[in-house]
Amino acid sequence: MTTEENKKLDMQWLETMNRRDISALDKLADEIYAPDFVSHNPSFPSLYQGLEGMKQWMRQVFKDLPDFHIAMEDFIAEGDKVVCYGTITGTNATTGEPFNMQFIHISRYAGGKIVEEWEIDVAVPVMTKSEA
Amino acid sequence: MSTEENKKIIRQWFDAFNTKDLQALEMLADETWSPDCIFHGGGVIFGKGPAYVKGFVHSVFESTPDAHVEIRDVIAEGDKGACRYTVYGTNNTDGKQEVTEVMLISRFSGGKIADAYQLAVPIQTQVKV
Repeated sequence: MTTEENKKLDMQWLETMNRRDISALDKLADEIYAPDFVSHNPSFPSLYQGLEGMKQWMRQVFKDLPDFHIAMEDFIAEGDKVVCYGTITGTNATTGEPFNMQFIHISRYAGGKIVEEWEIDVAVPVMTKSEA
Repeated sequence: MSTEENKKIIRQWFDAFNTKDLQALEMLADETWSPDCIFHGGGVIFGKGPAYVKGFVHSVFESTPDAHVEIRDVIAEGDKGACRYTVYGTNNTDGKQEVTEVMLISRFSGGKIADAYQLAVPIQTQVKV
């Protein structure tokens, strides 16, 4: 796999997340995530681990944020790693509150699959109508 | 500037930070950050240019005299470089050990960082016994 191919897989994953198509995501996840991939996320250390954990997590995310959307800012790829960063938005299904979070994510590829990832998430203050 | 040179600029800055030599850091700040570099992240603008960085390093070493950075990764492509690093330090008011995980995205222009986008998450605080 080349760096460009890795970057394409990262892009493809995020685009499929934005379609919120669970069966397409399951299929793609099997192709691009190693079964025992390791996730490092200091904001949500126990969010998910491994392919099956991640599949459960995305189902939960689409329940919590039915209009989940990732706006990608850019990708930086070198060697076996791809950095992507952007903003995740959505509406909390329970509270109706807007959700707005910036992220920087790093994927490490080996043998054509993501074997490790790192992410930092920071919630962006959402202005209420009275502040806007 | 090549991506390797950009990576070197990032590493050089954090290596200098770890020497805690404020005079050297002030000099290096002018070489590293462009005057109109905006420091931002999480919907917040922290400051602009080397002046902001100089003030920042002063305040860090005042509140956290043993602050040091461990660079975990530097990844570069085109005019951008990403750095994943961890900041360690002991807060001198409450003795708490602070660990912060950080990712920085730098955009380079004319051999300097022209945009600095950073997200940071504190992961652990412990009272030193």
